[in-house]
Parts: sequence; C-alpha cells; structure tokens
Amino acid sequence: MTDNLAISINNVSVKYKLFHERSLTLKETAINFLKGKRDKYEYLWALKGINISIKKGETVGIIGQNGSGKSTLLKVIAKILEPSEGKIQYNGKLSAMIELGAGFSAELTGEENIYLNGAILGLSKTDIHKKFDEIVEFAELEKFIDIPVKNYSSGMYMRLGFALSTAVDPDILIIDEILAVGDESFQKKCFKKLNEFKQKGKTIIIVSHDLNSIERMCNKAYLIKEGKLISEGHPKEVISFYRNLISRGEIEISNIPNRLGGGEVRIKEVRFYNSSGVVTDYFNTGDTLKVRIEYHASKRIDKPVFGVAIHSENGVHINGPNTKLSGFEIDFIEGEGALEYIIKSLSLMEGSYYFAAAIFDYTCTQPYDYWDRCRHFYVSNGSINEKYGLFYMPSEWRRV
Amino acid sequence: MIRNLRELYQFRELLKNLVIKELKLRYKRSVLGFLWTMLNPLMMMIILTIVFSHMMRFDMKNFAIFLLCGLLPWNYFSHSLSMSTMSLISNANLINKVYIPKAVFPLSIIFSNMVNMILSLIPLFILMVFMRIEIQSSVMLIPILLLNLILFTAGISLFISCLNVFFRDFTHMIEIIVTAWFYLTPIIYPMDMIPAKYEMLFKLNPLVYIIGSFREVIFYGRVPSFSFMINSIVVAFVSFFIGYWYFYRNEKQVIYYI
Repeated sequence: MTDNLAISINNVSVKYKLFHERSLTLKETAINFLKGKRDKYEYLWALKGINISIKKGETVGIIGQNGSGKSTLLKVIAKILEPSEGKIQYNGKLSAMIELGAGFSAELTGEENIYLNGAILGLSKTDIHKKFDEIVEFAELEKFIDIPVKNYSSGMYMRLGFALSTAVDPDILIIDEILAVGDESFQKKCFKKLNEFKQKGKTIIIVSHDLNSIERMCNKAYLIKEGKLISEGHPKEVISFYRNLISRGEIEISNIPNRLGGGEVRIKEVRFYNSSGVVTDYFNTGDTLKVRIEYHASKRIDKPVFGVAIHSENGVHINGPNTKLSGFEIDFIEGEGALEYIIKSLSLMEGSYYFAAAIFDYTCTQPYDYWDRCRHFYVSNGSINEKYGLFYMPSEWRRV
Repeated sequence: MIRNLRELYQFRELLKNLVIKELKLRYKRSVLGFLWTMLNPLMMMIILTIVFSHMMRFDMKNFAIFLLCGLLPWNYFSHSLSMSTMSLISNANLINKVYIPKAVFPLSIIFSNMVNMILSLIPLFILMVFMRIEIQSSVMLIPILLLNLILFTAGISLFISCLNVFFRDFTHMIEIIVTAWFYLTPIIYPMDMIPAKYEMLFKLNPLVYIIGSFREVIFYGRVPSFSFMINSIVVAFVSFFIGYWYFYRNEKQVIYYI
C-alpha cells in the first residue's frame, strides 16, 4: 500500500449466517444433535467485493439506503467486524464514532467517564490528563464534571462523547450518522471541529442519511446498494445519481426499517405527488404536496385511524395529524384501498424531511402498521427569499 | 495467539480503568465502602463457626480459621465465575460500537475480585493474631498461590463468558456446577476426612490443589509438598491456556451472536 493512502480496502466481503432454525441453548443443541437435526441457515452477503482507496486528507461520505450495507462497511473499517474475505490496510491511528458516549457508565461522574472512555478509545492516562481541560471545555461541562453522567441532559451526554472521540487526535476519524442528532449549536460546533480536522490534513469517513451535509463536507462520495459499491466520485454527482435512482424507483425501500404493528392492515406504499399529479420527492416552499397511502386490509377493520407525521432532518417533530383528530371518520376498510393527505401550501423551508405514516385502531393505541420516518422529501426555497428557521409563513412588513 | 496477547497488553490502561470502575461501582453509596470486603468474611465466619462448632459439633481446634482459609479463595473463584458468565453479554452495546479486545471484560472481573480477595486476607490475619495462632513463614508462598488462583479462574471465566454468548442457558448450568463443585472440594471439611477409596478421585479435582494450598500455608503453616505445588501450577496454566485458546478462537464470532 502506498504512503499517500490512509485506508485501502481490498475486495472486502462480509457474510452473515441467516438462521432459519437455530438452537439457542445448550439443551436444544444436545437434543437436536441426538435427533440428527442441524441448524438451518443460509449465508447473506452484507458486503460483496468492495474496493475503496481513501487518500490521506480526504473527507469521504458513504451513502445508501437502510440495509444497503453501509453501516456494515463502516463497522468493518472500524475493526468491529472482521471481514469474511478480503483485507483492509491502514496508515495511521483510527477513531470511530459509531455512537456518542457508547461506553459511558451511568453511575460514574463525568470525570471518571472521561478516563474510562479515554482508555476504551485507546488513550493512556497521561494523554487523557493532558487533554482533560480541552475535553471539558469543548463539552461545556466545567460545572458538571463531578456529577454522575446519569444526571446529564442528552445534550451534555453527546457533547462529552464527541469531545472524547475527537480528543483521541486520530489520523482517521469514522463518523456514523451522529451529526443528525443534537441541537443546532451542537451541530455547528461539531462541524467546526471537523473542519479543523480537515485543515490538519486528517482523513474523515462519514456515513449519513443527510445528503446535504455529505455534499457540504466531503470531497468524495461512495454509493452502496445491496452490499455493492455502485457509484463513486464527486459528491454532487454521486448524490444526484442516487436521487435519480430513488425517483426512478430503482432503489426501493423494500424493508421498512422502523416498522411496527400487528399487520392486519398493511401499508403497501407511500408516495408524494406534486400539484400536477406527478410522483416526486422534490418540492418548493408554497407548493401543494399530496401524499397517497396505499393499503391492503386482509380482513374488515372497523373505524381505522390513519395518521401521518413530518420530522425535520434533526428529529424535530413538525406535525402529526390523523383522521380522527381532523374529524374525518372512516367507517371501515377492507381489501385494497388508498387514502390521500393533501397539504395545500407547504410552509417548510429548504431542507430534507422525514415522513411517517401509520394506521391505528380507533383508540389510537394499537398500530396495525406503522412506518416510522420511512420516506424522505426535499424542499427547496423556490421563489422565497427567506432562509432561516423551519417555517415560511406568508406575511408582509408595514411601516406605521 | 501471541499477537493477541500483545494487543491485550496494549489495552492494559483500559483493563486498569475497568477494574477501577468495577470497584468504584461496587462500593459507591455504601457507607462502609471497602470495609465491607473485610466485614463480609468475618460475618460469614461467625455464622459458620456457630453452626459447625456449636450445633453440628465439629470437633476441631480453630475451626473458624480453618474454614476461612478455604472459603476466601473459593468465594473468589465462584464470584468470578458467576460474574464473568454475563460479562460479554452485558457489554454488548460497547462491543457493537467500539473495537476493543473482548477479553478485557472477563479479565476486569478477575482482577477487581482479586483486589477484594487480597483485602479480605487482612481480617483473616488479624483474627489469627487475635486467636494466638502463630503465622509461619510459609505464608510467603501466598503470592504464588494467588497467581495460580488467578490463572485458573481466568481460564474458566474466559471459557464460560464466551460459551454463554452462544448458549444462553449456560448461566443456569454454571450455578449447578459451582454448587456441586463446592461440596466436592475439601472446603468445609478437611482433606483427611475423605475415605481412602475416593482419594484418587479427589486428586483429579484441580481445586484441591488450587484452594487446598491456601489452607496448607496459612492454617497448617507448612510448605506443601513439591508435587502438590507442581500440580497446582500445572493445573493453573493448563486452565488458563485452554480458556484463552477457546476465547481467542471464538472471539470473532461473538459479534454475530451478541
């Protein structure tokens, strides 16, 4: 491997055993062994033949749908998973932020946790000692450093986690999705810190759903689909290729990641339409947005309640109407059908948003089917000149 | 395997921190703190002495000390086993998120318990002085015996912590095994009470050497025979290497099952 590379991934594949029948206990294993029954499983390739070379000083983004294998790739790079085939070579020290504060022990104080987690990340005691003030300052925890972390707010928790991971001063930093959490000021701080890293010539690898930050931060992007690398290059090009695939329906979210519910009624598809009735995920502020929810009820369901919700990219719950609250009572549903939810004028500002859809029973406690944040749509400002906040509210100025 | 051991050595700082964490958590919010470690064996001994010398009429001089010499190393062994069974599973979150040599989790239990074990030897010696039992120079061997005990326990702990990831019912089995092992080892009774025809069988029990040697040097005040010492060292190393080897072979599979 040449010196100007930070990471070289050679033909890496990862396979999982997907068990159909598995003995979980010693007792079962013994009985099954005597009966001559073996565990039934097949291999599932989470990654297949990945070749990536990342140069020193590059910031690269890995994108793909849920279940595409991008998180598996990140875990392999972070050495958490051993690749089944192929190998990865490194030049330099590695630090991975798969989850902020993963190793925190709730009963210990902030200070004790800094030492414990510093050690988890591979820092020596003198290293931590030297960086202690810097960590505390970045996390803004000067006053709270000697209380147990279980009393911390989630913001404090994340700040401390982030401060620790970057204090390792790695040559290669791996980040998974974590920039999608936290409030705005925390995000700004993180981006600032990451920019510092970039300027120091460190290598950063980011996995994220947030295509905008990938585009903003990275100088190269990789698109993973079904465990294979299908596109690489300039982030702008890869992202537009990706969005194209999504709008053409070639990347289907066949496995809804956050699906709950009993299953008597299944949501079959959720689609967005613009005012001229064309399927799209792209809208301008002020546009009409029509959502069509197609369902299939395997038996007659009386008085179902359909609900939807919109969340911002960083998790702010924007709205959550349902048919019952709106006074739109549905007597019953049976078999195939569809329901539309129409936003007459979209007052959201530029950004990407999560959409959730659900069908509940009349008490709104038992979901029949619940797709939590399963769809994305993107809003551009269009003719609006405002740029701050989440909402555009039609308004005017007047001098009196 | 050697490379693996070296890597483990690189993470010694983490191991140290985990041990400190274990100890801190155990004594956090308890008024007496570390005193508990010393009070526990004392209390237990008082109860056992009453039961055995007054109710069951076990005729032996200084029975309490006799008992404690076997019970302290036994407690170390059995606590370490039952704690390390779950050590990988209860740290699943961490194992899924950060790369760490997984052996640090059972090993941190082995070491933190050892701190307690050493602390609990203090009240034992105080009691011996109090009861006017002479402490012989044979106690100089204690560091070697502790090392044997650590190695032996670590081997079994590594083995079962890994096995329990693949077979979750192993937790229950280990409880039964430990209980049986307790009565099959001369802890509450002396070695010479074993009928001659079973003596050979008892000599196959590794704990006879590992735990029995403590009683030899502390209570009887004599240096164990050469073959006894060799047996106990061999047993300790064999246990450690089998346990470590099994752990090392299966460590990479753990993440798929946890």
